[in-house]
Amino acid sequence: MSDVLKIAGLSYRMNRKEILADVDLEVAYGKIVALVGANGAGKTTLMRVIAGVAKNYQGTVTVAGESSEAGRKAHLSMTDNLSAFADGRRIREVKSFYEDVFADFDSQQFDQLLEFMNLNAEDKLSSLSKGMREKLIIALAFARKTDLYLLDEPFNGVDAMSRKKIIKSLLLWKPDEATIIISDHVLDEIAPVLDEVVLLKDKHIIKHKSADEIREGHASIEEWYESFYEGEE
Amino acid sequence: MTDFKQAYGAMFKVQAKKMMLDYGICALIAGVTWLAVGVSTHWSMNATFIGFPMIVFILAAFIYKYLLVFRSWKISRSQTWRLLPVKSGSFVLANSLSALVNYLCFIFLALATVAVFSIPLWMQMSGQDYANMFKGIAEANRQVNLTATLLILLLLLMANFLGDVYYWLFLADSMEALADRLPFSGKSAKAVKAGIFVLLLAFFAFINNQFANALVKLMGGKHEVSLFSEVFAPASGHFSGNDFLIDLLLILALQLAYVLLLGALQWLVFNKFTEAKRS
Repeated sequence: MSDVLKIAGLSYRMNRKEILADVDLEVAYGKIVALVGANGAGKTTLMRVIAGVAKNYQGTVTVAGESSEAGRKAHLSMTDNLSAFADGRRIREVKSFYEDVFADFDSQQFDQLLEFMNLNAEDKLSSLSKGMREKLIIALAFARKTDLYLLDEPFNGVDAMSRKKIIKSLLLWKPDEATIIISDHVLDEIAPVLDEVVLLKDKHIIKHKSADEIREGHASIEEWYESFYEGEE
Repeated sequence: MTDFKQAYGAMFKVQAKKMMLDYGICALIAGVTWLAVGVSTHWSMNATFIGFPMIVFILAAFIYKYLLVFRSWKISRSQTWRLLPVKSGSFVLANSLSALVNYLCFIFLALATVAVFSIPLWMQMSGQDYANMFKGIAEANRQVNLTATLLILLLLLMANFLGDVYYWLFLADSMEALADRLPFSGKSAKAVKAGIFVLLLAFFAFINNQFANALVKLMGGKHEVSLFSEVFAPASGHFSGNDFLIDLLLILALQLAYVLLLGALQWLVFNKFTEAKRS
């Protein structure tokens, strides 16, 4: 099967500043991939370009063989900031919106995910803590049946126990051949489920390795990652 | 893929919820005005108790138009909306049409409310008053087809609204696109954006003015005299209903062409440059 994600010669500029330079990346179907890098390395920008919500780029991006923005969006699900919803909206209204606009949204799966996350459909967005909001965002992302999931720092504010529980269940929620690309700062927690790691540094992807390969040569994936920043303050 | 119908339906639903709230607030203010003036004038036949609510709704409709433009802009910049797998042309069209239909719903509700507020007046009118009113309408309809005139005026209202939506979105998106290419971020970026917006506003106001002047000259040249002079000829007392309709249709055609141009420009900037706002 061909790659779910292909990026060639991607460069992105904003305010005359180069954020990504000549990025190439190929990711196969069925993988869980960590996208790692320091703050400001361009992880969120890369995900936004893949998802078609960022425009100031050159190069090609293909998701499941689709290069058009609308085509790519139909094959991916990205963690969303819920900017379309006022704080007074209830979770069931957000669910209703997703049912209306995404043909691949599975309402039953969403209800199960809500229960898993200990959230109530009658809860208002304003009543959710930061962690609860992130859990809702994860539930919405995985309620869609797509080929590629982009999770941009999905565990910000989520308590440690819930993080562990969610990470263990990631494999259960996604379709078998779907790929997850996840950016997170706490590598040790997601390391057990990872297949590959992509390291963004100095605007480039400097490493793209399998997790097993990294584990063979290092005590942990976190140690391998930190070795690229040794000597830097 | 999300098709145009789904995108439009979702946008309309979101806008409509807010529209009902906005209408409710206006109806409450207009209702209080109606009651206050009606009671103080003893529901006089001079109908000031209808005039004041009408002023409230006219002002509200003017403000509401720009509120809808602002909401359309928020939709076009929202990451939630921009993640929808819908083609950019369908997105732009759905966004503008859902705003337009909501606007028309607001206008319709306002007119219906004013009609209800007019009930005390209808109740005071005698049979002769009604007869005179219908006679006046029939006479006006003999001069110019009222149905056709109202339809063209409605289409002009819709075209004007769409033109405004596309114009302001085009300005806002152009501002963002230009600001993204300048080396400013943070607070200085906001000041730069404001400056760019003012400059763009001045520039396009100038272009609009030149376009309008050229149109007037063009229409004046075609008719050899200025618009509507064939329609109204005060010296002879002659009024040509057909020429009036033809000139209205000409204005509508030009307005629609202008809307298409603005829509195309807005789509170009949106498709090529407009990014979703980062959280």
